[in-house]
Amino acid sequence: MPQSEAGRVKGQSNTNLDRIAGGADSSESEPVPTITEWFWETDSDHRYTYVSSQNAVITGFSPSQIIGRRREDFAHDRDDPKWERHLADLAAHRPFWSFQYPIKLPDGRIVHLSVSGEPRFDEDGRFIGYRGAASDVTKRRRAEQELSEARELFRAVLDHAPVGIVLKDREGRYLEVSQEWQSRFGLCRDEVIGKTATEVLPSQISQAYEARDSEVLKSGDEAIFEEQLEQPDGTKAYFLSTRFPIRGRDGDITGVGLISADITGRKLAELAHVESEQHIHAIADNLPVLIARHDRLWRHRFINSEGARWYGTTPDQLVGKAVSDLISGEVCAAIRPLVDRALQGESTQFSGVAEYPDGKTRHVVINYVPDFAADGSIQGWFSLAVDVTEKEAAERTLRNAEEERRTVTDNLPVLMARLDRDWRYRFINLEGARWYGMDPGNVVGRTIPELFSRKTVEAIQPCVESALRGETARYSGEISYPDGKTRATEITFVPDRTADGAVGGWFALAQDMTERQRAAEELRRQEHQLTAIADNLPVLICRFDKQARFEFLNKEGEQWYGRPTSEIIGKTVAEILGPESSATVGPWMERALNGEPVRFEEKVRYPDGTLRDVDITYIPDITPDGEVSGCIALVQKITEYKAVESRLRESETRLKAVVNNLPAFITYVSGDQRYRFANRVAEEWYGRPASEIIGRHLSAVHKPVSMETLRSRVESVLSGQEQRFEVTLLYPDNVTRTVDQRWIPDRGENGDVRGWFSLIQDISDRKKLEADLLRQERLATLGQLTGTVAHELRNPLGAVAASVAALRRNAADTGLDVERSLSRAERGIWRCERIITELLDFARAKGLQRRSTPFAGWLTTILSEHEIPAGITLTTEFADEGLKISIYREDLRRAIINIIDNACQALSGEYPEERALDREIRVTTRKLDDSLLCEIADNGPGIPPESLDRVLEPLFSTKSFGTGLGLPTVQRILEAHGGGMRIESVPGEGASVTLRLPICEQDEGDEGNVQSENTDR
Amino acid sequence: MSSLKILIVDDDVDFADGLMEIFEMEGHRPVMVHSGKQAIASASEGEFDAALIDIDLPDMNGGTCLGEIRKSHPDIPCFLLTGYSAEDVAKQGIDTQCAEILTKPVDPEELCRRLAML
Repeated sequence: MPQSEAGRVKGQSNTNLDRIAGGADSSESEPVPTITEWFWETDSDHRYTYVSSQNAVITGFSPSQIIGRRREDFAHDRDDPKWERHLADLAAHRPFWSFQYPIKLPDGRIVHLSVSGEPRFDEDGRFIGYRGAASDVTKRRRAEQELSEARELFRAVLDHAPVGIVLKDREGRYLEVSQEWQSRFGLCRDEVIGKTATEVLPSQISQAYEARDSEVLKSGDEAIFEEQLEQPDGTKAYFLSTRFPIRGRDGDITGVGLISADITGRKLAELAHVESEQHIHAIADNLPVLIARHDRLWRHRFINSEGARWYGTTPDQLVGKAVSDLISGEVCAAIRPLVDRALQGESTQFSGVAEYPDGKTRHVVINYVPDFAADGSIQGWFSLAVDVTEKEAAERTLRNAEEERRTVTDNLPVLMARLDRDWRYRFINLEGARWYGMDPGNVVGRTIPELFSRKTVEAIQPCVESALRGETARYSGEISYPDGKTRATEITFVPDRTADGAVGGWFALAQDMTERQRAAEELRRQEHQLTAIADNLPVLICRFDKQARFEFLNKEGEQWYGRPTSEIIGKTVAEILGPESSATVGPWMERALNGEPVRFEEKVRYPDGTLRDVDITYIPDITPDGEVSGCIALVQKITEYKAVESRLRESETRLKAVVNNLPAFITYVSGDQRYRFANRVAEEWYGRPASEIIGRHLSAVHKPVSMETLRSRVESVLSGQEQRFEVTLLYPDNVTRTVDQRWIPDRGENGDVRGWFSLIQDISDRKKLEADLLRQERLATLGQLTGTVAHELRNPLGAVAASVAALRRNAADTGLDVERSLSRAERGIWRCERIITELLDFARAKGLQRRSTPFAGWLTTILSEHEIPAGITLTTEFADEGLKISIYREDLRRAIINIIDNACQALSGEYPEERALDREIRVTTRKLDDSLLCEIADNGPGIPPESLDRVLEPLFSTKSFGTGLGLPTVQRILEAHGGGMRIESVPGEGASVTLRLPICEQDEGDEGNVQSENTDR
Repeated sequence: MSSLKILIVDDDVDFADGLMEIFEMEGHRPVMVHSGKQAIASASEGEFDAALIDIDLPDMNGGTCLGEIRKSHPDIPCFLLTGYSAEDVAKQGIDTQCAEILTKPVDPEELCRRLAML
């Protein structure tokens, strides 16, 4: 019965470990070999009477050592209370199973035996002993013990390990959870075991967990995740979770295990570290210095943005790259010893010029600082490089400037000196020293009172005091210098401020004005003379400098500018002339100021408000060394004559232009009836250029038939009577024009008629318009009339129709044969009705509402809805299928159907044999400019030429029935659309009607009538 | 065929009378009046199964007349008659109360068929 024993062990298991282990309990994994089992028999006194031979093999006891002895005689633990129970069983002759006890073998080993037995009775029912089997269960017991220990250990681990441990079966049901896990989720084991994550955990968490579990189940591989869990207090906990498959004995995956360690502390430290690194990087990135960290192999571990810029790239491109690969070998060699020393723990500095990969050469100061690891070892070095190029440059500039100043000051023809508050010379240039008759070195250290007379000192004292107060002062006067010369001197006193702004002394800049004063005096004298001349010239004379500032202006100029010279001098031309006028003269001035003398004529409005026609000359004022120092302007009014001349020329041109461009015919005919002038319209009408008209006689230009008409008019106009008449003439260009003629006699000084002007206007269009208008009016009246009449006719017609119907019924009842008459009457009614409809259609001004319509689609629909007689083919070809135009849909439908019906009627007539088979109506559309043309053509007999002109006349009809209003109605509909129609026909070949509709998509405003939809068919 | 009580409203006496005769032959019970006011009065006094109303009545338009009649006969089937076209009626801005518009002269037999379908 070992199996049942094992089963009980299994059943007693208080962990689910066995299940997960795929039933890996020892009894099954190590089946007890039959060799360990033997049989025995005892007598009624429980003494062995038989043991099977296996016993000897297993235990080492010989049968003789066993027979006659009792089981308890071999017991190693005879005091164990279980023996009491066993002996009680025996005494009661009860069967027993798996009684286990240890025995000591002859070789001294302790083995565990398991015995089962059942009592035996003889035929009389007397107890005669037991028979049973025994086996060595030592190994199994050991295994069981180990297992139990393992279980305990596992239990202990589950209960005490500071990690989350979870075991789940394939279906995701919890088999085991550790204490830590329970407290992590605030769940206790009993709530969890046998359930799935979905059932016990928040869905957000369970979904993630289950997805990961199933990944492990699928792949069979261990998976490690870092997981976050929001704690009730809102903080985050971090876990490092390892999921692994649990495999059964046969290698199948039977579940998933999870070991999850809380790494929150480490994680937070890490995050803090990352954050602080980020801070450092942020700072480093914003410093205008190169900051880099390198490892021992010179590779960048970090470089800030500024540094990367020097390398012409971004920090992430540089990390990992060695400095030595990025800079020239030369520089590399220069810094190597410094880096080496840094790597030995010493901070070093490099200062020099290096060319960086961004193409800039920088003067840099680089500090190399060892990078100590936490353990004190040097893991690399830091570079801190500062670009001192600009500083260096600034310093150099300063040095140069000082030198330059020295050079400049020494060579200036002025005295320059720096003095302290005690009037003591601190510096004097060569020129200054020369005025003193001394070396500069001898002047420095002395004071002004030591070198100059008291009078001079007193003269300049106020200026010196001003300078020492911080104000610049100027002194002008004659001063006796230590070299014995008296110089007309202009001295500028400039405060000498120290860095803190305090006045530590002053500079004196003295200029010898003696020569200049003399020159100036001469100049003034000359200028005076010049001004006198200039002021008396009727010409504006001025001079301006290179910046176009007035330097001189004569009297004439004052007048033009409307203000005294004193208000003009120093101002710029732009300021004085104003933007408009200065824009006119500006470009010329610019040329003059570039050295080019210019002369031009312009209209310029001057500040006195006068617009002057002026002749301006700008003469550049060029100094002996070739520089343009300014410009002299001579501005002269263009004479009146010139102005008149140009005005006349202009007016003539204008007149000619007007005459030529007038849409009227203008000629002048002299008394000898010869043309003396003909404008462009005249050229056109006469069909020849003016040169071929002028000089010719009237009769040589006009057609003879016209001359007949004109002859009496010629006589009248030559007698001095103005002629005005309307006449229709055939002109030489073969155009018949209705013209309004106006002949005006031209009288000489003595009153004689020298000729006449003809002013002739073509009024053909006007006449046509008048005729059209008349027609429209007539049509409108006709429309009104027909509308009223038609409507009034319908009532009696209705009464007649009803009466005919009633008559027919009565006749049928009485048997009178009046059907033929009634039918005729009825036909008459419906013919009247059709005529009324046509009249009303014609009378209707326009449809209800104009609506944007996709024309091709709409046309297709109305054509398909209209019945075409058998034998006639209707074909269509539409251009621009999507085109939308705005139409009165019902009206236009009526128009098109009317034309189609006309075509059908034309095609239904008599035909030449050979053409009887292809009776066709073609409907095509095409776009022409901003119109849509819709052509409806038939290949019927066509329209005779004599009818073609009249088909649009109302009431014209070639049919025996019909009002003759069909096509006029169509025309009116198209006119209402702002379009038109054209009818063409070649007799014998067919006729075509082309409708022209303007393309415009606009809907007409809704007229507030919902019914429009319904009435629009 | 059921006998309908039909209200004919038209100021054209002959026309109205013509319809009267036809409807009587059909076995209907037509009543004819010649103005809108008379029509409204008749409608308020008796029950009608259908109405034919001329749009151009001397005292009001047919639509208005129908509107009044509908007060006592909310669902009465009605044809509006006109000497113009449906489109012209729409253009005049007449509220036709959704009634069907027939253009005169109507075909009496056709009208009878239409009434028979009511």
